[in-house]
Amino acid sequence: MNRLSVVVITLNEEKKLRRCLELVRWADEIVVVDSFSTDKTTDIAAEYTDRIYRHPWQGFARQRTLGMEYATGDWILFLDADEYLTDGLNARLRKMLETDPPCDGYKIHRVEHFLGYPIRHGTLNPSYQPRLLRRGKGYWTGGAHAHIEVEGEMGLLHEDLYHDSHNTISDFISRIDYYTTVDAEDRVRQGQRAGRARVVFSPIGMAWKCFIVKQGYRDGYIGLLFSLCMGLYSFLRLVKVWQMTCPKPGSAYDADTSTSDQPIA
Amino acid sequence: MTAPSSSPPDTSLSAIVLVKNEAHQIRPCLETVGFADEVIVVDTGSTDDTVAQAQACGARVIETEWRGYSESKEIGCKTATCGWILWIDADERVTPALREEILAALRRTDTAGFYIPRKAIFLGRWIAHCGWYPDDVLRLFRREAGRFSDVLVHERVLVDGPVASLTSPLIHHTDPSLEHYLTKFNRYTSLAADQLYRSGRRFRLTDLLVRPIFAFFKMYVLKRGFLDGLPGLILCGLSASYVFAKYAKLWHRWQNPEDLPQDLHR
Repeated sequence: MNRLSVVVITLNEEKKLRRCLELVRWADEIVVVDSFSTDKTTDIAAEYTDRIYRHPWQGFARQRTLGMEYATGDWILFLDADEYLTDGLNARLRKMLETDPPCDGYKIHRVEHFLGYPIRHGTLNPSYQPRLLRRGKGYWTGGAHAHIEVEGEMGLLHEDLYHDSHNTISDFISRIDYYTTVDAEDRVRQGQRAGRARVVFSPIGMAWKCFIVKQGYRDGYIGLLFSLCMGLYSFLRLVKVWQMTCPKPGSAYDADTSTSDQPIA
Repeated sequence: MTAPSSSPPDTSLSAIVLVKNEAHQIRPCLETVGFADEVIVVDTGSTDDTVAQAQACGARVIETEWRGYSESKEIGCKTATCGWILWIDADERVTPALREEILAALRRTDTAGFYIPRKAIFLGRWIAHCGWYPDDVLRLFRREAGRFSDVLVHERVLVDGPVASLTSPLIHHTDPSLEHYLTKFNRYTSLAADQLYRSGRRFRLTDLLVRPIFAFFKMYVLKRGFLDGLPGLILCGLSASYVFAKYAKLWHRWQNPEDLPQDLHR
């Protein structure tokens, strides 16, 4: 029987963490890497484990690597606080850990949620996310879309992992504010620049890709809304590329407003 | 009845700024209204050192709870003691030319309020078209004649009496960064969606598919935003996104009718 460690990375997740942890209670060990949450996140975590570590946020790959270093199990399951295991996946994991799984790492089928509805089509994220690793056999790398490097093939688990990330549109916008920045940094490094044509066509192309090519229309209205929101994502990413690559015209306007040395009131 | 000319007109000026967590820009703002007879800062719960900075500039600071824009602004007006009120925001700057014009305007007895053309600096660039310039805002008015209209976002001053316009611009640094813009974007679209929801406005699919495109077309073509180059295009795109987000939130409100608006705080 293999020992399982679950590594959860958190930042202000008091609303969702409990559900995530409750479903992996059976694991041999839970390790939480928290980036200095200011809500009740760590209090909730403490009900499930005493292995809580605080580290400033340095990106997904780095936080998970830290968690991996604290973990002692034979296998490590990496979860975000807004992800949770369906019963099917839970059963599958228990069963496979009783034997000796053939691969060193596994990708798990993840179903995105948007405003509480499952988005089964039209997402750009690969549906299979690296989440399970034989300890010592691989490492995390990458920026906004982190992945695991292992020697040999990653196996696939087809049971669903639910990702309950964007509960409101406000929530979606504040999250993509973070993701578009990280993403734009990558693109600037790769030499992308923002031009008029790209600013116009890239968001339209993105919405098209989600709704038509990836068949988002099969999810109905929510698929349409999600596709348009992805267009917004693409647009904001370009705006950030523009900001990072075009220097602002000095502070000429401030000079405009300089006043004499009159005292105030 | 007393003849209006029996007492000299009150030409004193109260400048009022409504703030929350503006420590990074409250000083440069207050420095440009130093010519006023009285500077009042209405603070609605800053957690940075805005209050200390304002006091160091010599302003009278009123600390109050956040009760919506109109009410907070009324508090400022009630505190003021001068004959005229100049209302400015922490991200606005009075230029020397505007200062001279204001000082001259205070002596006019035939006018109760003045519009000031606002010049918007968006992400560091002056937006000369897109319908953004001149953005005439009524900011200078006789204390006795003004009150604030009661809407959640984009409240206005209502003035009883004749109104004229000044010509020198008020500089408006709308957004120092895109991150700052998006935070504001998020808050305002929520407020606007709540307002629509509470007025009983239903969601229609054209709100998502047509309105944003129309908003873009209006700004970029009709208001000639294309003359502002790439910054203009981006601003128009963000404005279309704003409309999109507002109606997407309206849709979501109707999907969750029991989930009444809670986030009316700034």
